[in-house]
Amino acid sequence: MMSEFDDRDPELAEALNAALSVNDDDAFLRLVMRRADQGGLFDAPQWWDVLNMWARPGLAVAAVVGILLAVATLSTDRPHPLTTIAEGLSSAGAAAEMAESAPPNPESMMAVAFAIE
Amino acid sequence: MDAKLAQMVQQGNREAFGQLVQRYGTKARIVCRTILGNQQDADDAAQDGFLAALTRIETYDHARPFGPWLMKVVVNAARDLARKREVRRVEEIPHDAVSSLPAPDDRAHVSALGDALREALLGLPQREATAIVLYEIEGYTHREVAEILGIPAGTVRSDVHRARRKLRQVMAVWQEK
Repeated sequence: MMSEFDDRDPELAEALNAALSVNDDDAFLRLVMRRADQGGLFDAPQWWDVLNMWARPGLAVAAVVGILLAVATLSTDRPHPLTTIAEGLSSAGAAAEMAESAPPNPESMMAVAFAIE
Repeated sequence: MDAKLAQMVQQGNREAFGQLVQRYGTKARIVCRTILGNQQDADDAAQDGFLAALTRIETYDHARPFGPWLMKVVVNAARDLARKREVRRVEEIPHDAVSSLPAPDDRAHVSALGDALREALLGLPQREATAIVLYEIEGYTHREVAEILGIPAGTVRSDVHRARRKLRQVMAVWQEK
């Protein structure tokens, strides 16, 4: 139910509208847009802005990837090079070389050692 | 429509912001003039209001009407400027204010009535003046005006009622002639 507080007053509204009418709407629009432009409120981001935006997360991701690679590398079970040489020296070919009375030929020893690889 | 434009502005669309300024520019300037009393200050405040709305457009909730949200920002900008300019207003229209208004001139009856109404609005407490302009001219509901002004809807009803009665007195003088 409408009360006297709720109904509108079209006659008063019309009179007020006429009394408070404004002009130069286009000029007002131009002023607002110019201030918005001067304030840089619509500037498109430049490439360095985008780069700067991604720099911090990029560095964080790179650090995490680096740590993971390091952990993976250290935890891989690889034979030690000295172990490989020792295995080579204990092979049958090496035993034959050691059994010779003459000093072993360094070249043939190296060939035996690395033949296992 | 407004919500869609606001959403486009949120995405950085300059054109959409221009359309909102076109749609609400006159309303904003009228409300600011009611608060500040002159068009120059009103236009400054309305500009400040639109720019403030643009910088905080992310806070606008699409589920709610855009007009009251924008007007609240604009009214706050006008109030800020009013405080800076130390606009001092008379609390009430003096009892003899209506009878002391200049007699209407037939040649410029409408213009003179406009002058009288502007003067009468300036004589109202700022909240009453703003409430009746938002309600009668801009067409907002009591609830929306309450949201814009940050006061209870019941207070808006009584403000509008008081302001209307005073402005009607002014109009009656001119209509009798």
